[in-house]
Amino acid sequence: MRPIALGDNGIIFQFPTGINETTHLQVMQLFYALAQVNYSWVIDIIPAYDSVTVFFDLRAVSKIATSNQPHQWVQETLSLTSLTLAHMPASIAPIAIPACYDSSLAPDLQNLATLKNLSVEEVINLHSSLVYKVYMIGFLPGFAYMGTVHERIQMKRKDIPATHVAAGSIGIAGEQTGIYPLDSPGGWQIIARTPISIFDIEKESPCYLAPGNLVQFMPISLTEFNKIKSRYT
Amino acid sequence: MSIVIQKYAPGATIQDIGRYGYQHLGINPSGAMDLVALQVANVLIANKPNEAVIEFIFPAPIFYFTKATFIALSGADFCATSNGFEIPINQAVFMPAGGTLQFNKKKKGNFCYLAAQGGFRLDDWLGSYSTNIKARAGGLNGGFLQKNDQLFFKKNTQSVQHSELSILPWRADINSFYEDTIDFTEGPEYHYLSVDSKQALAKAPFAIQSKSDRMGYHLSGPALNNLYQTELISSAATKGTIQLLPNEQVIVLMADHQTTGGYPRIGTVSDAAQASLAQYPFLRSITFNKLSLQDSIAKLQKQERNLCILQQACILRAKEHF
Repeated sequence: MRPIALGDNGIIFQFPTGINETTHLQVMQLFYALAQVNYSWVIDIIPAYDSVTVFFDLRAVSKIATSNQPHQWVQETLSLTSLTLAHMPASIAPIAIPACYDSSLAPDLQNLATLKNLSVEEVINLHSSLVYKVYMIGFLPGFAYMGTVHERIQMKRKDIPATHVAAGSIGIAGEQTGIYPLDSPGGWQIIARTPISIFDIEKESPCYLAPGNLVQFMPISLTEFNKIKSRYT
Repeated sequence: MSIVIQKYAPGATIQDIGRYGYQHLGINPSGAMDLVALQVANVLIANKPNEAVIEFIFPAPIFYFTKATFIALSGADFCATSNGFEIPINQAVFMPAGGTLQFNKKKKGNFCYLAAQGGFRLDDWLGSYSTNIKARAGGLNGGFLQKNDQLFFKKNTQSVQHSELSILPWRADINSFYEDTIDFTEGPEYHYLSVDSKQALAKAPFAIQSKSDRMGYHLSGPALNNLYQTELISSAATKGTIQLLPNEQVIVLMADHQTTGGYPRIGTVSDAAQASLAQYPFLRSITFNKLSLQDSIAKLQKQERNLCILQQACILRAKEHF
């Protein structure tokens, strides 16, 4: 784990680069260790695939740092903290997310199936039979980057992003799968849509998913989609 | 007890210092583009430095005051007038009930801030009043201010000394807060740049393109060479992050930036220089200056000290008038 500065008030703790479960576990351990110590001068902790970035309140640090080099003091303090053993949340059953793969909600499903020499049913089976890990949240409020998608249905992002992707759309980008929490432009291959709200500002915890969660998609029909959707609107 | 948006103009929002503690959920901080101007406008009228204010661009809305209050404008100078009288920026003003505030010309800067004494009565979202346009949350109804929107004051201003429009006799000298060259520090992927490109970044003129906005400032300038063409794994980005795009041009992330990104982060605009960048005229030549992290932090600490001194001075003057 190597600390690197990100501007006046940020430090990235970089792990050996890559997307894998081992690194993810190290990332989450550091994330929880730092979150549980709960330093008053830490303002944000952002876990990603192979890094954890900490932003701190420079003014607050300047008041308590024992050296006149606040950045270095923070780096040393956090590096020491990282040695403490974090209390990790007990592993829980995957969160089941209903997903409707109906062609009317899945503009890129047929194309992906054709390109991969699979039937639409096979794509649905391959996508919904695996349990995914939420590696990180980013891009949009509540947008979960999940992996790892079965290699037979991995497909790169679109060269030209779609101007409008509906909230709830479930997409594939390389080995990742994700859910658009909001209407947004986007380049992922959209193969399904969930009727549930992935992001809701009225809730105390507005995001449905958090880093470290396990997710499995549960195929539903268009009728079921509409029924669940009507409960949310 | 309110300000009413009498005439709509696009791009006006409520902002404060920003929303922190939720970036691990992809919720970006938002906040004022020019945090110096936010604080100057507030401390001029003895508000908390991070009180929520109205941020707007030119052409600006017309504001109508249903009740008297003390106000201050800072940041961009859009040649404000109130019922024919000129209203200077960076100065406390007593605004009577029935007064209007309009803006006539873009003289300097991009973002202007209007603070009202005691602040506005709003509901916070996750601890901040800043408008998050993407999430449609925070600020007033989570969006841009609309015609007839009403912003209520938290405090009922009583002034024994003033009944008419008055420009109060203290002013913030903001010259030390803004510079013409923009300081930056090396980013995590600075070494992705070739030697020539490193030199170009620190010397060559760039220009802010007109498609720039609160999310990011797109710069046009010399083509910068990426020595490592491998795709980067997404990681955190922050306000001021200078990203190298595949077309060899750069974008500087601003207040509404994404929390993570996959482009090389070749630099970070120093915190103390972010106000200068936010207000820098578009399409005009702009140059960057590389600082050590230590020097960059020292400049920020100096800026914060100067803001504290200004705040203390304003509190003393305000006591005589409010």
